[in-house]
Amino acid sequence: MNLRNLHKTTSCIASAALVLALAGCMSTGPTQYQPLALNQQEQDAIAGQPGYAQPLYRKLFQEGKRNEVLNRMEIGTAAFYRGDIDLARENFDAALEVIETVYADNENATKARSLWHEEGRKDFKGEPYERAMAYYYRGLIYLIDGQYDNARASFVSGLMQDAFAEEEQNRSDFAVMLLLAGWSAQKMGSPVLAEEAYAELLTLRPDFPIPSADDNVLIIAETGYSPRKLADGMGHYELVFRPGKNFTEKHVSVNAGGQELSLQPVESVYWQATSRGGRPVDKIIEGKASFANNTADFGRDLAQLGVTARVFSPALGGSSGQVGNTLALIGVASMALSANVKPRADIRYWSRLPDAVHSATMRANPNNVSAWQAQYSDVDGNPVAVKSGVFRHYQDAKGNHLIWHSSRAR
Amino acid sequence: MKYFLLTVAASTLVLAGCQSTSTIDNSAGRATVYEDTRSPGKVQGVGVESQDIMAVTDQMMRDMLSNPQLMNREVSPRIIIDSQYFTNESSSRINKNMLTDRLRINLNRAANGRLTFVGREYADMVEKERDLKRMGVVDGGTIRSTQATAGADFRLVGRIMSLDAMDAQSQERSRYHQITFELVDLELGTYVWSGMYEFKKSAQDDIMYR
Repeated sequence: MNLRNLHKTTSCIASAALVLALAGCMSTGPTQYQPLALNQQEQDAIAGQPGYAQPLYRKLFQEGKRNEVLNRMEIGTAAFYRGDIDLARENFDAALEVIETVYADNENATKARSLWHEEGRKDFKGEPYERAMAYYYRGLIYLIDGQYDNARASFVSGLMQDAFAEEEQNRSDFAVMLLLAGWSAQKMGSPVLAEEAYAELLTLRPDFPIPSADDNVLIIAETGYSPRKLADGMGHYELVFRPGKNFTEKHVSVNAGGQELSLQPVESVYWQATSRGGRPVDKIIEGKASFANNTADFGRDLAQLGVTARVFSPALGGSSGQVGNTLALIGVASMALSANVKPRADIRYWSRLPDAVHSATMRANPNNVSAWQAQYSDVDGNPVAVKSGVFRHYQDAKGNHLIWHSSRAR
Repeated sequence: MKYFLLTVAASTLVLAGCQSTSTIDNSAGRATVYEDTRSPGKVQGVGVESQDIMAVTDQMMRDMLSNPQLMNREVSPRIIIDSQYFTNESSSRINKNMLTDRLRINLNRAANGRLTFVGREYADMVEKERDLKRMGVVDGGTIRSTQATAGADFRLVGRIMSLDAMDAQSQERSRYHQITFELVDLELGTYVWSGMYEFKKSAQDDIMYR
């Protein structure tokens, strides 16, 4: 074998090896994150939690800072559902602490903007509807604690999370926050603030019955399951929302010890998820997807040209075969570059949220609330055969009541 | 030979570029450090933070100590400073006791007896002990006995208010806080002293969170 043939053979072997190696390193599917090892202190902390919360705390510690807010939200909702208010308070406070922190110079956020990392690399703070719902639950806990002013601050903060919707009519249209901000203001003795909130509520829900000044019972009912986030489009770059699955209840009425109460739907969480419109970050992710497509097309064209040059090299003579090899190599490299761009949208979502919130207020002295029964109906008013969910009854030091109901386990 | 070298170099570069580090978080932790409570810390938002609480209570304390109606009385006036009538009408969640407790404690230390503070928050506790003393369950203590617990001359009232503004284009948000403090004469109902503290913060989250 002469020296020229040796070079040719070596070059071909190297190219083949490179193609194989690059094919091997092309990523498929979302990035997998290794769970963090738990230290003794964390294991003790898990063991000290109630049984239902232990797997959630394990996940919290294993997934670390990146998913801390999400896991805190999940634990908070699970605890709230079970009436474990101390645990719910602790976890929503921890989640809101991060949500309220301005991420102006965050390393993971910077990485998530780059071509080589998915959006899901960033620390989770949730989409605006999720952040707003964190304030909603924390606000309810403040109401349970009789801290009406902080409850109002929570609901107003929740409302502001929704201030950046793409379309103006969808900005700050979280009606349940307005209702609860008004209720809190009413209870803290600020009728002017209450009237302002209720007036705004009526612009969004003209038929909603505004609480009377002497009402002392607030009933909140949650139905259905959380909206879901999915990644659509080439490279899964497009974030889309879909309604929760496996439920049909859209309306709820309550048999309160012989008295029939019809609760008004006041908020659709799914609507809030979808009405945000485009996010500024979508343009970055779309740019990543576009870059990936362009480099893949370019690489494919170049590789085909290289193969063509290689095939016709005996006829063309000279160094056309080696030029073909080089072109093919650059083409494959470009395709590998494309394959390593990560345009996938972040689809982590708060799974324990409801689909909708319903409410009513009244003047009463409720008792034996755990025996109350709820009936549900679908969007057309047909009865839904679902067993009545739980009722939780709280009375604060000032004698006001919060009755919370959920049609589904959370 | 040059094609061979070119191939090897390209292979090395491309393979180096395609290695992924996203599955492993090997960043080091950060040891606990004490931060200056008067300075903005590493974690910041647009709400009320430690430096604001310290600045506002310090300013109110200085203002009260320089007020002749309060400080130049022959008998030191009795004042209630707690959060009972101090309301939060802002969009910032805050434990109001952080403001009122710091103000009362620093005033108490600085006034050196020229102001007397009534612990109305603990009135139940005091009444229980007095009852035990009067019933003879416990002795009378070592100081004195009085007909009744202290009535107050003045009480702190106030509000925390905020005004939020947002730019829908840049998604920059700002929050202006106005915190008012006033002392109300508990006989006449007049204001004997008023103070106010204002601050405004603005911030913009990383685009990944907008």
